[in-house]
Amino acid sequence: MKALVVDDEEDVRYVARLSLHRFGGMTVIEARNGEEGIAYAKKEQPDFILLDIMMPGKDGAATFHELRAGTDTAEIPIVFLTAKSMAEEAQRLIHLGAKGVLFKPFNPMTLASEITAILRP
Amino acid sequence: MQTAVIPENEGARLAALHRYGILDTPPEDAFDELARLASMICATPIALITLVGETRQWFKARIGVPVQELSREIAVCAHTILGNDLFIVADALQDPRFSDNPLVASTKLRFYAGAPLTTTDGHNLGTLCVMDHHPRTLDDAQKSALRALARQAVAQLDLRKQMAERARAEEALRDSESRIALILDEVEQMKRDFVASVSHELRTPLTSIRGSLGLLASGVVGELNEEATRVVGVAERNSIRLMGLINDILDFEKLDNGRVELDIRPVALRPILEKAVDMIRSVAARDRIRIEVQATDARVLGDDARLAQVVVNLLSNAVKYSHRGGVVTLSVRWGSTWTEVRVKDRGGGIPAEAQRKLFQRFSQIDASDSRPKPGTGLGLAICTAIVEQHGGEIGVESALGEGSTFWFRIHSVAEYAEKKPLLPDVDVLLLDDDAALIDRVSAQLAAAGVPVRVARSGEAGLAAAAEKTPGLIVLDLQLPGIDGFGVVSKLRSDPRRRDVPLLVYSKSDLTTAERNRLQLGPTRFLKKTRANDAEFRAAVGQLLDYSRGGELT
Repeated sequence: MKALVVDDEEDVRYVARLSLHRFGGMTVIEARNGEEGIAYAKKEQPDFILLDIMMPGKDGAATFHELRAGTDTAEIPIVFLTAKSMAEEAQRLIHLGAKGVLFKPFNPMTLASEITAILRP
Repeated sequence: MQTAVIPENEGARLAALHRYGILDTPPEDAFDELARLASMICATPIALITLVGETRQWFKARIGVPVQELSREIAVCAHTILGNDLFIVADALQDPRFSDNPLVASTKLRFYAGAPLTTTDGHNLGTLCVMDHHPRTLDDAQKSALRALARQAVAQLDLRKQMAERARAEEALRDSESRIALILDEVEQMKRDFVASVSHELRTPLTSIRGSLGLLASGVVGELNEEATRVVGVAERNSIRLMGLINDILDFEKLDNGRVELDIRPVALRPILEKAVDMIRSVAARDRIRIEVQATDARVLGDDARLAQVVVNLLSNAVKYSHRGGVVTLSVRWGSTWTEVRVKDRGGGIPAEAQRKLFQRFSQIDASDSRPKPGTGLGLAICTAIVEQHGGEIGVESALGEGSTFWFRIHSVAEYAEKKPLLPDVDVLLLDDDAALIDRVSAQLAAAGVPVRVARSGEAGLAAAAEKTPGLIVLDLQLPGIDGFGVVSKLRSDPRRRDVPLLVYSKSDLTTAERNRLQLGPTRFLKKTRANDAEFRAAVGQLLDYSRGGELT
């Protein structure tokens, strides 16, 4: 399974990559912001995108909308990663078609299995 | 003798009388004038405004009667209040109801005419009555006048009652307002204490976490492979960041509470700026950002460690929001009054609406470039608190796409050095328990070459004034123990201190009555806001000139 992690904090990306790879056996691509995320999504066609909501520049919501609007990215499942204070915003995005929401701080031991559960049809 | 019967509605009538709160009150012009008019118009030597209580009738106004009240049993007015119109006794000696009334015998009263004082809800509280020593009567005009004057007396009673009710309501409002203010103060204090203690509690476990991670990273408890080293590095770096955040919160709460004692003295600005730049240079170098520093000879009134903290904060923001390879400029403008430090970046700039929120706590700018910007959002709030405790100002000039210039200005030393030295024996006694204000005011005074003594309670202030008469007293009205009013009243009764110039600081506007109570020698009043340093200096200057034998301008 190929994952795309979009987060502006290098440390968060690193821990997410490590846990998705070690516990879920996934291939992980990292993007540092919304623009990079969109570009990698088009190019790499990941199985899902783990998307941070609060980012400088193009934030999670804007990135999400652009991905949904793109012909070659509209179908990629998106899971949001957010601090608790953004829970309402996340709920709103689920209504708009996001696959799920995970909260920071996430548990690196279970991150991969939680995402797998969310993606299961 | 026939005693008047008790009215049917006596309980309600007495309750109504009680509501007016008129019995046993001092004479009032409005009622005296009505009685005088009645006496003039009816041409009688006696006129009364009476109120009939449970056992007595009491006179609110009396013309020609030496006593203040009479027993209800012998009162003619007790008959008047039984009816709804004038009650007239043309000749008491010929009237079986009154011929043997002891009052008639002792005062030789023969004629009585009274109009009941009827309230709007129909209770006869008493009378407006006239009396004479010989039998007679009133003509129609006099009767009409007596009725009209009685109505006027009731109107006066109503007015009086309304005014008393309004005064009571206002007092209640003031009471509840001050209670609410007190509760809000307490809540705010509790909140701050909570934040402070939680932050302290957080530091303890965090210290262990950091320590353990540090040990792991150092390899003293066993070699780590490359990946493990990196994982531990992430944890260590972020625990340091968390510690920084907690320290910022604690620092801000202390500053905001005025619990930080600033050590404000004349200092050279240059070493402060150099130290700040040194601290930020390695961070700037990571993104190849150059910091340009303008040389300066400025000397300011400040706490050097805290000023360095402000400059570091502004520089670190400027670096954070600069583009890679950019330039940050640190410049100084200085004059005799103010010295202004300016930190300019060429980053994305800040939209106008965001500028307003910038200096509030936990506010961060969403910049359009993508480098991570870890921070607490407290930096500028901390800077603001520090600069304000210096009696200075902080601000920003910015436009989108054109970068930002953050500046702060504090007092120059030159402003005071140029002034002629003051006479040594004139000093200022500062009575205040607000630590932040004490810092600010004493820094300004000390810089002006005026010796300052500080007393933190009314009692301490009085003791200090007794020890040596100050050239000026600066008084905060709210003091623990004896408050500002109490202090002034004590000083007034002391012949050697009652002419001392006084500068009163108050939270709210004072009424004329309050101001009158606060007059000592020449007295000035200032509201306790953060923006009146110039006013304060002007007032202190004038009052001290007076103390030194000059005229008050």
